[in-house]
Amino acid sequence: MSAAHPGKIVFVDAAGERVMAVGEVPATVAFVQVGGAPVPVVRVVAVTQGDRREIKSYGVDGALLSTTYQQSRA
Amino acid sequence: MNSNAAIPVPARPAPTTASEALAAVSTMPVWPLRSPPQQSQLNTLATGSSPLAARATWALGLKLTSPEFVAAEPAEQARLLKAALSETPLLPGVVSTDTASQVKTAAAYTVSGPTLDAAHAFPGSIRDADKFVVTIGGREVPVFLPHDGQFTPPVQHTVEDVAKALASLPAPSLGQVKQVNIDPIANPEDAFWARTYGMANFSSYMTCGSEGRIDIYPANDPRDVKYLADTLVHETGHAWSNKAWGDDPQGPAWAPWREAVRQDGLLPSTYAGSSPAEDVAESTALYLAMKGTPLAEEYRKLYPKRFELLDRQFGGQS
Repeated sequence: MSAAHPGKIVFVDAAGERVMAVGEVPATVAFVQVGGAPVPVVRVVAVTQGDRREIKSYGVDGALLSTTYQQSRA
Repeated sequence: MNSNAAIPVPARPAPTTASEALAAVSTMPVWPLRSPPQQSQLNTLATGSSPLAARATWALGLKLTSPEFVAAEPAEQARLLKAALSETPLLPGVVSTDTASQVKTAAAYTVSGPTLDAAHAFPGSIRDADKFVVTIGGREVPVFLPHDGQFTPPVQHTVEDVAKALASLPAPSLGQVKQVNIDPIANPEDAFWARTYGMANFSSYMTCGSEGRIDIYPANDPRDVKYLADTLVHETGHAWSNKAWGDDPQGPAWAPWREAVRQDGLLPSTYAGSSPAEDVAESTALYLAMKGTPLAEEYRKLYPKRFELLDRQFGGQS
């Protein structure tokens, strides 16, 4: 399932969409380890409400690769 | 059960009860604008015993008997009513606020270990780990934590916390968890997320991978076992809906869920209102928490279309 990265990642949040080149982001954001192999992330969707944020990373085929839950401190 | 514990009720005059308010509303022109299921939903809110119903006593009671509401045109009444059903104080911020009152008996569990796991791959840090095995109903979940017991920042869950949280999960949620890492350092990606979203005060609590690997990051403030379990149950909703319908909640595959949300009207939480993906995750958490409890049927009347779809996913009513 691992593959070379297509080159760009679309970041989606309440402000809209922006595209970053894979070289602009950390390798651990650009790839998620699945079955011991790196799988490219092409879409990252963040939802922030109040003190809570969820960041979801998706692969080329639209599969959900990981979800990170964040909390804020007042 | 203290259903209002997390949502303070402001000091206001004693409200008309939701039942009295509903009786009045049922004679107003707005009433026929609601479908029979929506009318039934309001009746359930007014007469039920769920945490939602408890808050409806004053949230809807005051709103629906206010002079502004009574004098409004039917269309405006419908808008005001819809708004009242979509916001606090009626709704919790997240469903776990309400499901706390329906905590089921946790399953029995055992913890064995540790054994040494040399050069374990934690996020951003390879180091020796202690491996414990949590066993619940014959199911084994390995749990890793740094052998040196050092955490930066210093506050972290214990193996016992993880075992208790896993033992409290509904079966579909527990089934997703294949490995838990109690990580020694904060998420190395936090600095990137802070730059990307322009908010430095967020830090990662947990990452759930598609293959059931859970990473829990240390923090400066303690988090309880319930928060850990609630987060894992919420993730269950994302996992199944993504597999079933893909990554675009506005896409055609998600149409049945969006239609269920439209027909039910009532949101499960304000957080659910942030996107259909969060709605399905929050609804799943609510559904699994209430399944088999005395409030299950009451919640089914409040969210009939969503629960119908969730029945198909999780094997029907019980």
